[in-house]
Amino acid sequence: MLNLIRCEFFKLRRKSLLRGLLGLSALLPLLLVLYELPNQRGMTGLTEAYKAGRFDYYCQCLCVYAFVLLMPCLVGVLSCFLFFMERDNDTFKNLRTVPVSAGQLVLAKVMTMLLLELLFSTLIFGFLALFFSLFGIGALTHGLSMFLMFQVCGLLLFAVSLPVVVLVVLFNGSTLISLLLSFFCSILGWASILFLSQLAAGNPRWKLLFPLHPTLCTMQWSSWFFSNLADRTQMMQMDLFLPGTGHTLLLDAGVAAVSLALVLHYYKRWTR
Amino acid sequence: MKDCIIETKNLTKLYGTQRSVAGVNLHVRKGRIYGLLGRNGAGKTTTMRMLLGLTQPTAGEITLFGRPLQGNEKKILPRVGSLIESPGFYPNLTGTENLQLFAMLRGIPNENAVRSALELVGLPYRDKKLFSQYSLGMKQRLAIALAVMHEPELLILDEPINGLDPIGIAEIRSFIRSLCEERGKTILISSHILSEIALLADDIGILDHGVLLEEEPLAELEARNGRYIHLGVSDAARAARLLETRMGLTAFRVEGDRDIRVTDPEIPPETLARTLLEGGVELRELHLCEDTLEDYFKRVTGGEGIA
Repeated sequence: MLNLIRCEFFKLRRKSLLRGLLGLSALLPLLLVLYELPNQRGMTGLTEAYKAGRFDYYCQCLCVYAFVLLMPCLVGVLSCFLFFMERDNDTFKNLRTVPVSAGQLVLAKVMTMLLLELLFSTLIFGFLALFFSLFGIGALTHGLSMFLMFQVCGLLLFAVSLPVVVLVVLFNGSTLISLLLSFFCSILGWASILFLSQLAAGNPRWKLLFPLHPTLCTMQWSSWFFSNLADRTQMMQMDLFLPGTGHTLLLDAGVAAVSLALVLHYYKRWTR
Repeated sequence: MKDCIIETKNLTKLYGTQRSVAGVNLHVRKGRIYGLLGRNGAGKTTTMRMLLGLTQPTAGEITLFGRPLQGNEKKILPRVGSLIESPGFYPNLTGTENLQLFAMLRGIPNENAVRSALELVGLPYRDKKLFSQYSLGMKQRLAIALAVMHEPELLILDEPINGLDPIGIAEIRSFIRSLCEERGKTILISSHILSEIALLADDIGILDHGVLLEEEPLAELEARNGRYIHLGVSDAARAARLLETRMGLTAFRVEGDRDIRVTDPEIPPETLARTLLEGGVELRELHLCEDTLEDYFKRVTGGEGIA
């Protein structure tokens, strides 16, 4: 399997994917810096605690909101690059006669996507820390825990975004159509969260649906898990939906497992 | 057959209701080159795809190296090298990188395997040219290099000389021949260029509309069907009677009103001429003819050319 994953990375040589990933991961923190700079203009004598708080706040914003919106797009783009490579270049036959089975190939591709996602979240975190330190608007006091949060959130949101891969493989269309499809999924996912939250604001009984929505569940769990004690007390007082770790992990793993099974099912149709 | 590397029994492939391959019994013997002939759409590629496990047969059995292919792919396929249809590689990689990728997947420990394979087909090692910039001939050579890189015992090559120039065809032909003669490889090859197959193959199989019509060694086929005497006469019916009654000859065929084909080329032409002239039949032509593989192919498949 390691060999297969190595080969997946080898196949990406001279592709613009890694450059794009690098650009995107730099762009988001830069936008946040540009947003925060005017807020701090004229403020003097900022304490380290304040700066650490700002950095932590933006870390959480990026994790919970930006990742939710970006992850389906990222997963869609990566799956287009990785899953269409064999189809577009007629290399299935070469791989199948090695022999590499469709299952091994799907698993290698998903693992490659996961590694690229981890790289993406590491880069975002790195750029955020770099820019905030350079401009002196934030301090990396809880660096390790924030980095861990990036990786865990990224991993869980990657898992719940895998249905996008199912759609990409199922429709088996052009790259453009697949990219549009993943952007549509991203917006639809976000809209469904807003819609449910809106409904719950009017009638708290709608909150019963929250544990069934994988993205919403992951968002809420991440906010809870990585918040400090004061925030947690506040969250509990606000009577927010607070899913347990076991529930979240189980739900996300379930989505990932079903998605992988469907991807394999549809991918086998291509290779037959 | 005991020494068969490839053996199929009633191999059949249906696409919906359309029959692509029907009850094919193929026998490819060890250390020989087997030429599979057939028109476009005859089922050659489908047969080869089934032999490589790329397409599942609807019915029938495939045995490679004495083992059924089904369920033994992991043991059998590493012993096979193949080129099926057009060469498929990653366009953003160079030829060397493409081969390195598959060497990595195949777990080839020999660092020089890629270099040797490229040298064998006349492509430069570590060339910076990307696969997308290759000519059709170079792509075909790279595909052949991929097929032989891991030193397989069996090669399945579907139209390997497609896109090659005449010199390239000759080079690849002698390369394939040397693989068989010097390295003892067994080769199953298909081509629509019959003259090439005639120069290369030891055994011939003729596939038409998914059915294997003939399968025999080329030498036998040439000996049996290769030569005949063509007689151009004024009255074919009368000439036929004379050949039967005066010479006791039965190995001939009347072709129209004025032509006779004597299928036994060993009969002395002067005896034939004398018999006909003495019987009052005017003899216009007498040729000793040799059937090409294409003639034989046309005869077996029912007249039309291969393309």
